[in-house]
Amino acid sequence: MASIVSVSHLTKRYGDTVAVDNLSFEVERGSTFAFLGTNGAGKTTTISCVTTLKEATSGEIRVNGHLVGRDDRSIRRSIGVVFQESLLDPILTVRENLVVRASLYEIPRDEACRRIEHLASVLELDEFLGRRYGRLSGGQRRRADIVRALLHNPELLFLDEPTTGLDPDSREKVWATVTALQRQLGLTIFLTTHYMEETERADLVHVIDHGRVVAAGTPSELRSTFARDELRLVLADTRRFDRSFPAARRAGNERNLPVASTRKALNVLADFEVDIVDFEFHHGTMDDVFLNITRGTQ
Amino acid sequence: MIYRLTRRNLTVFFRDPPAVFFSLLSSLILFVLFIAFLGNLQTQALHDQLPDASNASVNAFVHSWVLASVVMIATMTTSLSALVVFVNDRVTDGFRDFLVTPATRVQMISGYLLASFVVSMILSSAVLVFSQVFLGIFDHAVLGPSKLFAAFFSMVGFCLLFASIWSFFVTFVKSNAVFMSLGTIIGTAGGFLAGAYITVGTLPTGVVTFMNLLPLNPAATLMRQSFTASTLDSLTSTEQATTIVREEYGLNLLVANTSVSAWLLWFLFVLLFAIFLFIGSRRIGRRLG
Repeated sequence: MASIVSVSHLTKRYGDTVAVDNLSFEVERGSTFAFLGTNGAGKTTTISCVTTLKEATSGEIRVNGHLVGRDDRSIRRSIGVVFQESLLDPILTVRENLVVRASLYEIPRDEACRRIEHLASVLELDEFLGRRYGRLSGGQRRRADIVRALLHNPELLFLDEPTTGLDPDSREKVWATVTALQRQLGLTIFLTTHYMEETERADLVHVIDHGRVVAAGTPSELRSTFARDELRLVLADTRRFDRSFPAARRAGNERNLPVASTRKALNVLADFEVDIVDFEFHHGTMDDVFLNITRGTQ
Repeated sequence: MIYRLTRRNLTVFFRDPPAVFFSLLSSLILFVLFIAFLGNLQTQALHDQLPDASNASVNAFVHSWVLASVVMIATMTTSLSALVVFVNDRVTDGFRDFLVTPATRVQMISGYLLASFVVSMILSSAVLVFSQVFLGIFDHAVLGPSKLFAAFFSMVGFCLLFASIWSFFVTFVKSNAVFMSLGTIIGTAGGFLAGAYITVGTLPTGVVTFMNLLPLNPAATLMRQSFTASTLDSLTSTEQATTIVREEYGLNLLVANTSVSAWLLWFLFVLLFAIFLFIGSRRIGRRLG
């Protein structure tokens, strides 16, 4: 599959501070690409360089075949950006905001109105189109931001920490919408987030720390490399278990045992069935991946 | 594109009625103060100086004199207020939402400056119309076509001049609170520096020289000349009295303490406009990121 974004040796410095350090990656067309990192890791700076907002100190970025810094206007026509903050005018209605933004892409007014109605209906925003943007809830604003980013039918949608500050229900709605839109429109999604579980939706995840990629792969690859499944047991008698697994973490009668697979966990449960009062098995998560990677790099 | 960006800036500004009201507050305060008591003081003082002048001619002169300042101050305060859209966009970093569209930085800068000019033109024109209605109803002293055109021409020039000047100064403003404070200071100090509250004849020479180093009083003088041309003729018949009134009420064009022609003053204003437009645009461009 062809790359829609190609970043090669990107570096961005602010004075002596290196925000992005020799970063290279590719994003495949139609995929969901996620940048995972803590605040200040360099995610937003990278996205700003890719979306033509910031000039790179060095390196080369190509978006949809166009070179950033040379073909910026062409790039801007093919990308949509949902920023971390709400940037539409709070004093205007959602519809007015969207009409203004559509006009900047030279979309005729009638066509813009048709697209706004269609997207608003897909994102269940119809009833809020006449309401002032500043009076919407966080989740409604975010959906309005997504409509705004999709007005000109972009091929690539950047989501810069799109669910930060939203309640779980709104976050779920935003993600359901984005996933549905990606299926319908064949969008490529470039996501930055510090919510680990959100990267589970990605086809490819790059973990970024101090401006550098410290790990990359599919979520399952990253989990298998950097996180382990774990079995938590509460035992009536711990002596036999402790002899077999002296390295397990201990807290009173509770033991936490990393296991290589579900099969291995079942074997342990069968072996110690008579001693077990309670148990819990959980798969390694992207939180574990992230913590293991970033702790390892510090 | 510039038209669309300008229209957005205008829509955002006019959708906020308090912003529109406060942009005209200085002019309104000056007008109300004169109607309430300052006007009577001026009228009385002028009567004492020119005992032969009729009440009607004194009132017409004082009213046309103060309304000239009201119009000039409106051009100054409204062009500043319109830039609140730029300040808000800066505070929220809302520029980014435009910078990811095909709009260029130059188009964005032009949009802010043009919106400031258009806001100033619309509101100042309303004040100009009001001044003529007031002078027509109370003093039968509506400006003749040539003087009205001169006043309108001056108003357009001042709207351009102040839009460019403020485009430079607002780039130093990083918050809405600072912008509001700036607006208050400009609105208050501007009235004094334009010689609108107190006639320049009553001020020390050093203060007048300082006032004439800034563009406010010379601009107000140009406007006063258009507004008071006929009311001054009706007020005095002697050359000597006219000279005294012109000095007292700041009707002579001066830069610092040097007498200048209207053409030279306009040339200096054009120069000032070009300088501030250049440095203001550059600084706005940098603020855009």
